[in-house]
Amino acid sequence: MEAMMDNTEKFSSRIVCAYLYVITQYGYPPPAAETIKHLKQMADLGFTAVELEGIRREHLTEMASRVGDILKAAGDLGLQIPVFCTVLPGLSSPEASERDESLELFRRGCETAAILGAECVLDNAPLPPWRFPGDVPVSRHYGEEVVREATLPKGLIWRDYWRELVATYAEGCDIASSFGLTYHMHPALGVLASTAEGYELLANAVDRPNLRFNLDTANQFALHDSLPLALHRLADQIDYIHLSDNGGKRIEHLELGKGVIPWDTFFAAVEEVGFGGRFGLDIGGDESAVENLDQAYLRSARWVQERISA
Amino acid sequence: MEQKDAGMSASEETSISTNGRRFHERVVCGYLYVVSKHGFPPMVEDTVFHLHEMAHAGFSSVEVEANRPSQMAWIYRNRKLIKQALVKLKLQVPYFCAILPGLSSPHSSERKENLNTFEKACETAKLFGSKGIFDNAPLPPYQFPGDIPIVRHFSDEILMSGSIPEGLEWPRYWDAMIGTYRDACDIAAGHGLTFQMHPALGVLASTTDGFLHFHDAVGRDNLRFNIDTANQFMMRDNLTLSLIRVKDYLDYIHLSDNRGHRIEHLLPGQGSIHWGSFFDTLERIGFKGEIGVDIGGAESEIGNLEEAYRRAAGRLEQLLKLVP
Repeated sequence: MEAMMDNTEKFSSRIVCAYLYVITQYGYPPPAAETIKHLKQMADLGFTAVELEGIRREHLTEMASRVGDILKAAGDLGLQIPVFCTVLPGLSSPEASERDESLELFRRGCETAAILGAECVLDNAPLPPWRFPGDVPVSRHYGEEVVREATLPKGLIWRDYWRELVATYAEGCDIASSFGLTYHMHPALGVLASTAEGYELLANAVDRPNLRFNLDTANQFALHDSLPLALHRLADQIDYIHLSDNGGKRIEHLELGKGVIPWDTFFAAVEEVGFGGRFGLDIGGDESAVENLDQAYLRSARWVQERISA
Repeated sequence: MEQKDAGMSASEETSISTNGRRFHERVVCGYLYVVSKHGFPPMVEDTVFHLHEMAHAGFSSVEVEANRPSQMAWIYRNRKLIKQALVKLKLQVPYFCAILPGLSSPHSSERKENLNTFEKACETAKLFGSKGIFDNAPLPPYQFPGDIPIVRHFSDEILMSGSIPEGLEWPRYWDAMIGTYRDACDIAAGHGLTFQMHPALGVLASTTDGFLHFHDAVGRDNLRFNIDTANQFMMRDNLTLSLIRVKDYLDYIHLSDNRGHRIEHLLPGQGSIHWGSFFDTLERIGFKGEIGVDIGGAESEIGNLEEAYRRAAGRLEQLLKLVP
C-alpha cells in the first residue's frame, strides 16, 4: 500500500471521492471502525466531498453507531459527505420478512445520512432473486459468468414479485423523503435497472419524485448503454454521476483516460443537458488494473476539475 | 458441460439429416441465411431464388425480408409472384420482416412516409399468411462523426461515439416516436398481425428492460418482443430472466449462440450461452411459438452454412419435441 499523500490542492466539492477508493485499499466491506482514518486519507488527497457507505446489516449498523465521531472528524477535515450509500440487497428479496427487515435498516441508513448532512442515499438497483449454481459469496459486483448462469427460483411468479418489489422501493423513497433525501439507484451488471431504459421502467413503476439515477459511466459502457443518450433521457433524474473509464469488454473501473469511453462526446452531453450535480470518482476495485490508486484519483480529479471549470 | 449446451453442441458426431423431410413449421429459417450467402442487403429481385434455397435446405417456414422502403416497394409490386412461389414451394412465412428505421426518425415527414410503407408491408404480410410483421426495435436519432453506411448492426465503437443532435428535446422526440409505433401497431392489428420488435445493439428496446418500458409506453397488445439469444447475451441480458419477464409478449425467438464479447451469431454450442437453463425455462413458461434459426452474418465464423442451419434446425425439432 502506498504512503498517504499530503496534497495542498483542494478539489471542487462537485468532485466526490467515492467509497471505492476505500474499498480498493481495505477490502469489502472495509472496517467501519477505521472510518476516520479513511476520511483523513481522502482529505489528504485534496477532496472536499466524499462518499461513505453502510454495507449490509453489520457494517451499516456500526457506521450508524459511530455517526457522531464521523461527523466531527469530517467537520475538522473540512469534508462534505453528500452521498451515503446504504447497500441493502435484501430490499429486493422475494421474502417479505427480509424486505421488511431491510427497510428498517434502510431507515437507519437514512437517519445516518441525514445526520451526516448528506443530500442523498444511494444503493445498487434491485438485484433479482437469482439462484446461483453453488455458493456465491457477498460481493460488490457479481462476475459475468455468475450472472449468465443465474436462474430464478422455481415457482416464482414474476408479476407478484415485481409488484412487491415496486411497493418496497416506493416505501424506501418515502422513508428517504421524510429525511429530506433523494434515493439514487446505481446501475450494475445483473441488477434490474442496469441501464437507462431499465431505470425508466423501474422509476415509472415506483412513481416517486425523489427517486434518482446514479449514472455510472464504466458500468453502463460495459453494458453497451449509450452514455449521451442516458444523459438526455434522464436529464431531470440525474444529480450524481459515477465517473470511471472502461475498456468496453468487461466490468472494470479505470482511471479516466485509461479506457475507451469517448469523453468529449460525454462531456458535450453533460453540458447540453445542463448537468449541475456532482461527479463521484469511482476508480478501482479488484476487477480493475489500477497501479497507483492515489495517483489515479488525483489525475482524474484534476482532469474533471479542468473540464468543469472550462 | 452437459447442462450448458443441452445437446445443442456443434461438435456432435451424428449428422442431422432430414432425408428429404422438411423441418417442422415451428422451426423457421431466418433471413440471415440469405444475407450470409449473398451479402447485405441481398438483391431483393432474387427473392424467389432465395425461397428455393431455403426450401432446398429443408425448411417449411422461412422469413422474407424487405430492407428499407426501396426494397419494400419491389416486394409489394411483386407480392403475388412471391406468393405463388411460396405456394409452389409449400413454404410458410410466419413473420415478414420490413426493416424501416425511418419509423423512429426525428422528422415527422420521414416517420409518416415510413408508416405508409409499413401499411404496404402489412398488406404483403397478410397476403403471405404471416402472423406478424417484424422490424428492428427503434434506432435513436444518433448523430455520428463522419458518414455511417447502411449496415445490419452498428459496431460498438461507432455506437458509443454517437451523440444526440443539438436541439433535440428527448421528451418531445419520445412522445412523437411512441405515437408512430402506436399507429404502426394499429395498422398491423388492422391486418390481424402482431408487430415484433427485434433487439439489437444500439436500438431502443435492446434489452428486456428496454422492451418492457417501450411496451408500457406504446400500450398496444399486439406489440411483441422477439427474443434474440445472441444479441441479448452479448448485451449481458440474462436470457432466463428475459423469458420469464416477457412471456406474455413472446411468440417468436431468434436463436443463435454468442461468446459474450462481440456481436456474432454462431451455431448453438459454438458460444457460451447456457442452453440447458434456456430450454428448461422455455418449457416452464409453456412457449408454443416459432423459433427462427438466425446463424451467420459477416460477423460470424460459421464454415458450412447449410450444414449449420440443418444441424440447428434438426436439434431444435428434438428439443421442442416436434419429432418422434
